[in-house]
Amino acid sequence: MSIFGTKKLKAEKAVENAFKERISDDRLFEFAPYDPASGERTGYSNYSYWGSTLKAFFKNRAAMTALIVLGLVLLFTFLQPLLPGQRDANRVYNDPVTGIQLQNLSPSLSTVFTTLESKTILNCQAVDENWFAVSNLVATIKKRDDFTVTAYLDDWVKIEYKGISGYVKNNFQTKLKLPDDPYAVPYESRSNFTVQVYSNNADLTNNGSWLYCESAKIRFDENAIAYAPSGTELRTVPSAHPFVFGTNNIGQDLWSRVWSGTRTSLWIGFVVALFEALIGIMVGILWGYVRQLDHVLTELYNIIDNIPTTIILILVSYIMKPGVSTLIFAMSLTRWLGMARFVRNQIVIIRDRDYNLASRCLGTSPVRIMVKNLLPYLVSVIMLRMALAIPGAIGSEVFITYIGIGLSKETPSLGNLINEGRQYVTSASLRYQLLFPTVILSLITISFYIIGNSFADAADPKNHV
Amino acid sequence: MIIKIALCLLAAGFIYLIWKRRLGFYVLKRVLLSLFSLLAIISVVFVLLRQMPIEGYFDNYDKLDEAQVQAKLHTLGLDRPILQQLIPFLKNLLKGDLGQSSRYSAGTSISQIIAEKAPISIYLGVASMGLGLLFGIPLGAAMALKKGAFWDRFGTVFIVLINAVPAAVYYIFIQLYGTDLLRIGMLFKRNEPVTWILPVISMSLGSIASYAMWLRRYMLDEINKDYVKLARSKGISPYKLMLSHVFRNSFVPMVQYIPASLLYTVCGSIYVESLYSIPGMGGLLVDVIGRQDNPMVQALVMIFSCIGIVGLLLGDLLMAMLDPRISLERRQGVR
Repeated sequence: MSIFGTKKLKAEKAVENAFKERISDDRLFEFAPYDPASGERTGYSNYSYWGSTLKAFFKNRAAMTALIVLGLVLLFTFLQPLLPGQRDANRVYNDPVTGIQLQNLSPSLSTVFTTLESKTILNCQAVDENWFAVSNLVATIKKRDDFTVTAYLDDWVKIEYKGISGYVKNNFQTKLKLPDDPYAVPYESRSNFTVQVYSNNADLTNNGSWLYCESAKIRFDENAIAYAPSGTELRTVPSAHPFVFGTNNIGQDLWSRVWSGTRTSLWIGFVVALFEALIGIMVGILWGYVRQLDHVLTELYNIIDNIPTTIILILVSYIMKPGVSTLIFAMSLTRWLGMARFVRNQIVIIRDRDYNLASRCLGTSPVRIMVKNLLPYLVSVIMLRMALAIPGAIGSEVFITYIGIGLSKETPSLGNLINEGRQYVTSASLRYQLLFPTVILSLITISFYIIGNSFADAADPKNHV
Repeated sequence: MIIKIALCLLAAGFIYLIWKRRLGFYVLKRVLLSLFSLLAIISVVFVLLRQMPIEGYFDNYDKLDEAQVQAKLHTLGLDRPILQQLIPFLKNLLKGDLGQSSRYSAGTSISQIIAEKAPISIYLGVASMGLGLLFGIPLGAAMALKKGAFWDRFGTVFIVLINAVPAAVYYIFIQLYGTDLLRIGMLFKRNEPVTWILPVISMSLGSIASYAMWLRRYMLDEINKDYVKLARSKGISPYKLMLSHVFRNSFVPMVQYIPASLLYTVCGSIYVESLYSIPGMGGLLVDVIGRQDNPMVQALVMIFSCIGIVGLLLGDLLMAMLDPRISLERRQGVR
């Protein structure tokens, strides 16, 4: 025991000596000059709640990325109709020559099928004042017709037939019978199959159907035979603007449908979420704070919550004209319930905290307590709910369309685009019809989710003070 | 058999709890109050259904003349005043008679339809819920234990994706690729256990995500509390701290919803059941509302509301069982 004691004494002495050395340092005891500005500084902190919330929010890299993505999607959604060359979302596009709908065209970034290099002779037909339907198909020879083969190329043979000279594919399909010595030309051939004669050794048709060319780019020689100067672009559709997302099963432009649908869905989401927040927060605060209302509203909640939403949706669309505003109204009728319940539970937790008791004792009016004491405390959780309410409303629109009481096809929305796309999912080449609306919907949802969560984190004073 | 034994044990547990914590009066009061709510729900739905368009009761409304329409409405009992329709319906309900389907499968007794369909949905639902708990709880706990580590990131991406991609879309891809992988047909067959796998997995993904998300949230809240800091500075082993303090306390708020979700498995999943053409309850309510089969709608609404009410009560009791600090009497109505 004593040994420990002396050791302790030694240590204490060492500390004391060190201390004395420091204290004898005169600089520690210099008087500061009088400075009125620093006197003002005491007790002031430049802390502002929203300032530091935003600062914490902007520091979060994931949240900023999500914000930028969402901003770009929103911006593009609303700018898209103003861009040049956009199509009407509901117009059915037909092939101008055959009149058949341009069904299920695959997505493509360009309409150019090929660019011509030489003076190719074309067979052309005017579609309208700007476009020609063209192909280099000059004749079709029915079977068992004699024609003369004048030259053999790799996959093609050059032929003469009733004064027309042209090229014929020499492949498995045409099955041209080869002579014993194929290079002993000319050679009389007989085909058992339909043979197509092209003006040059290339197949300038889109799987047998017409290609399109701007009429200004076609030249005619003295015999009125059309030819294309070099650099002429042949297009798959009579338009310089491609079907970027392809077309759907009746030949509507999926690109404009998807963006128009995104606009509709975002509008539904925003308005429903706004109503949800407004009604939900108001009812929720009253429900939580006014004790006399608690029993009544709880029972009312139990009743309304148990009435199937489908009945309400069907009844509303029966009474009112079906459309976007009816859908918004019908969805708003029930969606505020969840918000109200949520706000009420939060209010119940904090309503009897000491600061609220103090306010009440000081005679603060209940309205002021609700608005000034309770509501600001809930900002972060309410913002989170709001951020999730928008994609939530969009998602429930998908469900409503799925059960068959959503918007009609004339009003594209992400819900009915996804449901149309679902029908073609079994065929791999048509899966793009489901992919595009789903990707947009997921992007919007993920962005809102990340933004909402980060903002709720940032708005929690524990995380930034 | 096993299910029956488990249910009996569960019921015995609840009765013991009610007796031990002297909650009999409380439970009785809640049940009586719920009966009034139930009556109100049924009446409101009953009245709402009578506002539906008359055309909806017919397959060929345009071809019928006025007399035929009236005759059909008379056989359906829809031409009487609402109160005269409601009272006999309630009387039958008291006798335990749910009535007969009018359009879905005309003339068949509703209890028979439900008895055929409900078990499949319950089996599928319980299996997927079990899978959800089995994977969701460990995932949530792993996410909370090491914030920012691999499992946290993996779980966050999983949760965000499951919430962002509409279920209608990823279910379809699970079906497409899953049936290819397992080399089975697209459709569900009751007697082939292999065909149960994909529907159960599809249905469990959502619950895995939600269990993991909420458990992580509650555990993180709990870890930041003062008593945990105290326990840690006292030197309790981290393993014991996590398991018997943090986990137990954060599981309590989740436990409240387990009985309700267990009971709600009766409702089935509308997407999954239509994809695999499972003859279950999923979408039955939506279907009969669309066909305006009023007796079926009323019966289903009543069953589902009962489930909701009983599930909430059981949840509260279970919560009280796990957390002795919770006093139901005082917190009554707070839930």
